[in-house]
Amino acid sequence: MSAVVTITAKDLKERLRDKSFFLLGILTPLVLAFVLDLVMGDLGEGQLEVDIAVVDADGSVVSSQLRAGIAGLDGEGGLEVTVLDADADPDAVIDADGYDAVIVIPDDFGDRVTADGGSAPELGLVENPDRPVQAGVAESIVVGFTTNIERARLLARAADELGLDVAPVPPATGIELDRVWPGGEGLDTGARMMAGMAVMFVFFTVQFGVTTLLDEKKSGTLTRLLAAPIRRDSITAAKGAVSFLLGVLATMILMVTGTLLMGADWGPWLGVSALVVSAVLTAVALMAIVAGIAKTSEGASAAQAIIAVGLAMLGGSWFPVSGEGLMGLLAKMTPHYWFLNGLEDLTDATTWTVVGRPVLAMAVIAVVAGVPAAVLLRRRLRP
Amino acid sequence: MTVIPGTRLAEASGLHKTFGDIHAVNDVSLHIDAGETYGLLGPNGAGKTTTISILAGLLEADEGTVMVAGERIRPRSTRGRAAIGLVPQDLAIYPDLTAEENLKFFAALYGMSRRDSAPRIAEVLDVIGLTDRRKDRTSKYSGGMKRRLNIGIGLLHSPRLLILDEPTVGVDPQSRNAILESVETLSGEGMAVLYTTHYMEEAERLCDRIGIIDSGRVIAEGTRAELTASIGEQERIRIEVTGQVADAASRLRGLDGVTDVAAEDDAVVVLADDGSARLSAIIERLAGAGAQIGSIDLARPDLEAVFLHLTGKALRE
Ligand SMILES: Nc1ncnc2c1ncn2[C@@H]1O[C@H](COP(=O)(O)OP(=O)(O)OP(=O)(O)O)[C@@H](O)[C@H]1O
Ligand SMILES: [Mg+2]
Repeated sequence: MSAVVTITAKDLKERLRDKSFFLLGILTPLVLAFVLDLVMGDLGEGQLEVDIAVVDADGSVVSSQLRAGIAGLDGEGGLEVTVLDADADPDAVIDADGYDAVIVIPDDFGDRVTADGGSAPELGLVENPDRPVQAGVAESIVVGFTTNIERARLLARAADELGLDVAPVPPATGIELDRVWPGGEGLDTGARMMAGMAVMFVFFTVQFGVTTLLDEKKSGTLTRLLAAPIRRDSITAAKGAVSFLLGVLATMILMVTGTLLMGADWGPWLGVSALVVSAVLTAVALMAIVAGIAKTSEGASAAQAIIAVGLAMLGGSWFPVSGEGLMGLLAKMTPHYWFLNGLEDLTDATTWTVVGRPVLAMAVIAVVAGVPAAVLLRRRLRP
Repeated sequence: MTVIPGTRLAEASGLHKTFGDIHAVNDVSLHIDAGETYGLLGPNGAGKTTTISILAGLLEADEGTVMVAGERIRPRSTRGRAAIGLVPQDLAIYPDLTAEENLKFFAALYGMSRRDSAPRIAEVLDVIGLTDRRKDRTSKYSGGMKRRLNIGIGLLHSPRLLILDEPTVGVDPQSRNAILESVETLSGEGMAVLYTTHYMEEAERLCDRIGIIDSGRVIAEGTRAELTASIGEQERIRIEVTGQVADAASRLRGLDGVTDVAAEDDAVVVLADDGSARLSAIIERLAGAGAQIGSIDLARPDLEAVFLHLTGKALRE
């Protein structure tokens, strides 16, 4: 044990003396987060802004009720709703005024709602092809309204058949805007970028630990470590510990900087710490595999850079990813996805335990990668 | 450290090690007593470093055992390690740490307390002449200074067996002399020393006993006197030659009184009975082969002659 501490302390002294830890581990992600926040800042301050227009081609009593219901959403959750003339051309106004989507109430809408039987009433939706995410929000609104109307219609008919007199359900009841931002709505762009860069760069930071096993080989000092009266496992354990400590140090500095400079509100710090610790563990395990395979520390650095950036893209460090489809599956195999999702959940949560699932997922990745990593690193212990 | 001179400190028996097709160490046995300096003399690739790596517990032998200070030495065990001090052939120091930090780190690794290590580090810095530069990073040191620190780390924990693997390679003559002197001092204090080299002069000066190693085998062992006696009263003649060295050497084979001939890069080495009397015949032959002759060196039997006699090769080819 004391050998682990001795080697760890020596390595930390070497690394912290070297500027590259601060440059790569802290300064670069910080600058990148700021720049990306500036570039992508128009995605909104904390919430997606969605600009919707409504065209009521029907003009019946029923349709005007619906129109009023949709218009009533104006100002809620970043929505802006404009009511257009009955004869407005949706495509033309999207081109001209840049709406994200136009909801069209067709001219037979009222008749269909009040008709006995027949097919369900439908609403038209014209989406702005340049704004798919925002158009998606409009779509969820339309689906919400039509479901409600259909439910009301069925209820009314049933009541009618039973001879009951039921007041019609107002169309706007219970509409929820559930699709705002794939990956959650909790963090604002700056905070998200900060977290994304932090988890991406921790993959670079941990190199300063495990990869130094190759440097020890190059400087010949590995021979001395192997000749010393210490267990061989303490050498690899110390390298892992150095990676872990540097990773946690750099990431926590970035998270704190996020709150101080970008006003990020991560939620309970205990949860943040749990996420950071598990993300760093996965990074150490994954990068240790590379260090265990690579021939030289230069080769390891190159491979690690590719892996760090690749995983970050898959996992949503650069731009948000949804958890669906093949890409979603790949995303879920990265610690980045779980780290960011954990933070999204945590920011709105009252208790830190909401990070349980992401922490568990990252623990699984860490173990799955950690076992081969330990075996491979051990094989490096040759004079 | 209490040392009873003459007690068996290290013993290797029947060591074998192969790397693929290369039989790097082939049935090597040797022993070193306290206070004794044992030299392992052999050319490049003879198996010196591999033998040492097994002795220091870095490498697992395919066969054979190593005992140091009464403990079996194996890579998987830490037993007996503290009794050994290793000075690797290649530099093994941390470039981003100072000499003092390097020494402090290895002192801690060998389990020395801070209280014990501080005076010992000062002592070692003095021995290796780096007291003034102890607070400089070693990346700023000259080659000789790095070598001296490399040796200092091996001495630090006052090992009972000090293993030095070609410690003077790439060192200027002055530093080299300082290194040899400190080895002599340590040996005088009772430390057992295992010293590998391919410099005959170093082995002759330092070592009480010498093992001559070639192609993984110890082909002869004994004191300098014993080894040179084994080749009788022959003399070694070294003649600098330019031109077809190998061709010139081959012409000397079979010449009356000449027992061994070997070619170096720019010289021919000949072992001959009553060498001085044969010299004119040898030179005549060489001139006849069209070789340009430079300086001629005639020596009493020495280790190089022994090596040539045993292997038919020059020590440095
Ligand atoms: N790790 C290894 N893998 C493969 N071959 C090796 C390895 N280590 C040594 N050898 C081979 O074993 C033989 C002995 O090498 P060794 O390093 O012990 O020689 P040496 O006497 O120390 O030579 P030198 O004077 O050049 O240091 C050489 O042929 C070398 O190529
Ligand atoms: Mg060697």
